[in-house]
Amino acid sequence: MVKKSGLIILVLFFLSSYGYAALSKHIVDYRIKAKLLTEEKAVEGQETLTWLNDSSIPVSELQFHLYLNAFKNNRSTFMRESGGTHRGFELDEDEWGFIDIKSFKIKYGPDLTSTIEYIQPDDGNEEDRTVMRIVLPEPVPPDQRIILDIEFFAKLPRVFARSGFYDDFYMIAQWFPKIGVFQDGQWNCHQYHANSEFFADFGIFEVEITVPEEYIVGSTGKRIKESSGGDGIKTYTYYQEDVHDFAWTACPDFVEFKEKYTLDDPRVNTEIILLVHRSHLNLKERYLSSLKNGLEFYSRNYGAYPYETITLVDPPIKASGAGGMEYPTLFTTMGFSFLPEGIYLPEMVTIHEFGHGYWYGIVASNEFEEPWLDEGINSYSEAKAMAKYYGEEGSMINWAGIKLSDILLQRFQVAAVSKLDPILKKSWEFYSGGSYGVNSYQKASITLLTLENYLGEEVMAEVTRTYYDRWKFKHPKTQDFFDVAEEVSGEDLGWFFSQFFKSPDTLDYAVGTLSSREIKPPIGIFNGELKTEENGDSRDNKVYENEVTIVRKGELYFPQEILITFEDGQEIRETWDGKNRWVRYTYTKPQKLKSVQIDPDNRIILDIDHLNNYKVYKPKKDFSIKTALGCMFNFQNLLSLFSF
Amino acid sequence: MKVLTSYTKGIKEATKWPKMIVLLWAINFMFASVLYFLMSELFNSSVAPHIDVDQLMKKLDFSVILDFILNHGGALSTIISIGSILIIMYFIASHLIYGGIIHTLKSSREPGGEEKKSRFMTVFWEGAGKFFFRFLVLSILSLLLWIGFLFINIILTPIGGLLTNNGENEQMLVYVFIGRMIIAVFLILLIKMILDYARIKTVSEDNRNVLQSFIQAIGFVLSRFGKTLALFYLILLTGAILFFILFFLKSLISTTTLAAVIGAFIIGQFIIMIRTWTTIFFQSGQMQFYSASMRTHANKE
Repeated sequence: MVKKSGLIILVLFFLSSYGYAALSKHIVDYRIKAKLLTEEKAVEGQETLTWLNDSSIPVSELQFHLYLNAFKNNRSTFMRESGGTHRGFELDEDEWGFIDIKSFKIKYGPDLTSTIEYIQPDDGNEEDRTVMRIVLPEPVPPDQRIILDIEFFAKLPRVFARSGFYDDFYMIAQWFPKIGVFQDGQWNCHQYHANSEFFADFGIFEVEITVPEEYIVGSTGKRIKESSGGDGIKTYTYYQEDVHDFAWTACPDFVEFKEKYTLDDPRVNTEIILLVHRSHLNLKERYLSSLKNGLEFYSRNYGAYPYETITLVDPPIKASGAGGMEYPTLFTTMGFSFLPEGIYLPEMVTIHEFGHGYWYGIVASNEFEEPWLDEGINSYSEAKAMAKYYGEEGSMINWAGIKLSDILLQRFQVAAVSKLDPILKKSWEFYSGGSYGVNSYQKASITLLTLENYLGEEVMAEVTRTYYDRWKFKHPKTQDFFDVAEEVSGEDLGWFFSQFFKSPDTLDYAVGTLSSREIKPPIGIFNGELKTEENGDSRDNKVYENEVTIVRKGELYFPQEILITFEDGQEIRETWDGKNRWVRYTYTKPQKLKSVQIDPDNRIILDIDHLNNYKVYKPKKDFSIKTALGCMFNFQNLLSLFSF
Repeated sequence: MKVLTSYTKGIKEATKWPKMIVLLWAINFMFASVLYFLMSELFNSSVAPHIDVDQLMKKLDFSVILDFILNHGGALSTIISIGSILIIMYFIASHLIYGGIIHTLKSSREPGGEEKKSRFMTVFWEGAGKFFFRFLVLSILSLLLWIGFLFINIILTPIGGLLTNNGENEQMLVYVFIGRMIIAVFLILLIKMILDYARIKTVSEDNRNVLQSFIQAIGFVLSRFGKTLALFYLILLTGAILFFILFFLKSLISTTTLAAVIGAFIIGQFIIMIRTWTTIFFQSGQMQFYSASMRTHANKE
């Protein structure tokens, strides 16, 4: 019996290692032993990496990410670009972070530690140490593997940008020497930038984590073993295939909740693990239900969640810099115990970060070079999920009479940020952090929502499903998404993609002028005869020449639908390709115009000003009076404060 | 007992001056109407032609608000700047108002007070002009109290840090925030109360030495801390109750038609009048208390 099970394990290991039963091609195989040093706020690690040369050419050098070196000093590229702040959180200059390679050897081969060289492929900043290169004594031939033994020491920064510690909370991410991606005959291994995230190859991770026994640990993958060292320490072993990164967390103040999650269609069977900080226990149900919503939404719309676990990490308030970040099968959320129920921040962050398990985790696009592919598609998915579970109108805020939707807030951010960048840009080349964020997240999201409204919900659902199915466990590029969209919709969408993804310009149509002029009977001299109102043609009913102009104020164009309404309620719908700068419509009718509306079905969310999409012929002042009187009354009360 | 007597006499006295209530309301209205004209002009030109008014009167559409802020934010910020200037001007004008109120109340108690009542406007503006600069100096002197206010807040910060374990205990963070707000409001009201008595003292004694009035007012309040506080909060509570009753009535009106909007606005003006009445009540009630305390003091001596 023992022999038989041993054989099965061996076969499974063989199969998984060589990619036969795997969901992805296993380019990397990491076996890491990590020990958390709580006094030093550091991790001591031994890594055995097996790397497969999946290309058709021999590879004579290797490149690795050493992300923690971004926090080594104020001269790293990350620090220069960010000024020591990230999403509003600031660096603590007393707690720098770094990673030291203690030794780097080829298994059963030479020690290459002394040949480590730091390179700066993106900006040439010689003080940046986030990418290292090793020239191999012999190239790795195509389809062959190389096994490396690496020892490292990772000192963690006080957390302000994803990774680090605060007191006894540890978020240990981007912490080990991680090999780049050998793609298209060269290394794709970018430096760590203020506005960049990550890119890596799929494979296997088996990590032994040793921590003081009072620490609760959560990690990428499934816990397969735990043992007590007997000297106040514990070791947990985690294993996961078909992922491209590994992160873990440890804190004695976590309260762990576990729950099985199953779904019949599509078939999902996973274990939800919540690591809720004890100061946020009142948020547990909110986290749980939103994670279940996320599991259901993404599984039903894109594909069944394929992993055995999903771990939610809730950092304490002082470690919020670690919050809102995705890693394979684990993510950090964000919440504050005093948040009212109708403010759906924890729900939104939970759904968004879980969603990255799909758009980044499974469909592993290059976050450095094409950040919209994960952030944009995921923000689009998040907006749809939030609307489904929390109501279309108040999907972000439904509190104290205020209802704001996720989509409305996304549109507001896009309209508010200046048009300095297009969506398609390398993450570190954006004008600013704000421009990177809005273009990669919100603008990409509402561009996809506009595309959905143009193609139809069902077609768009098929586009995203096909894109997911075709590119899961692979590295798609922007063109791959465009190709799928055109293939599924059967339309040439070049005009859409070239404008809205490649141009920083804006889309804005407005109702220009409205006029209804009475057509008078002909008076004056006609054929030598004077016609006056008395002797001319008489007309019993008045007839009006109604004229409407629509103008394109933005540089970008989009086919438009225009609804013209007359005084008697009669409606006319016009369509316009939207290419010229303006168009005029004229109607001769016995009725005057009442109103004109561009995009009456609100399909074009990308239009930056919806207010000018509508115009009435005779404006009523009631609302202006109401609002102005309301403002006046509030101002009167404010003034009274100064003489009460 | 002195507190209750001052309270009841204060109410009677404040209610005796409808003209003063109307005058104070009119000053407030005049300042605020500038904002009305600016806002209605902006809304008429930027929003009114682009909205379905009938829909919007029934239900607020936040996308309209957001589009308005985005596309007409420049004009809005100009109006906000003008509003800020109006607030500063009103604050300066409030020194005239206080002078007018306290001088009028004092004059009505003097021999021939009834005759002065018929010359209300003259007496009011006489007091306003006479004490304007003295009250302005008092406001500048009150900066000393505001420094004390800041100092207390600075002391409270590390205490808050200790209680919240440097911000880690989120529940405590909320309680500490609420606690600090209560302390801040208490201190702001205390400063206001001291200034009230300093002004009353300045007018009652026609004292040109405002520093002396200021210091004596602090002494007066501290030596009768419980009573001055009790009277102050009784007046505040009375004003607040009346304010909220009218505010509740106003909120009952569903402002979906122009007539209802105007109806609600008229009730709103009664609310402002209640606030001006409360302003007078603060002065009359505290003047009563001050006079009674001074009499007791003199009798003892």
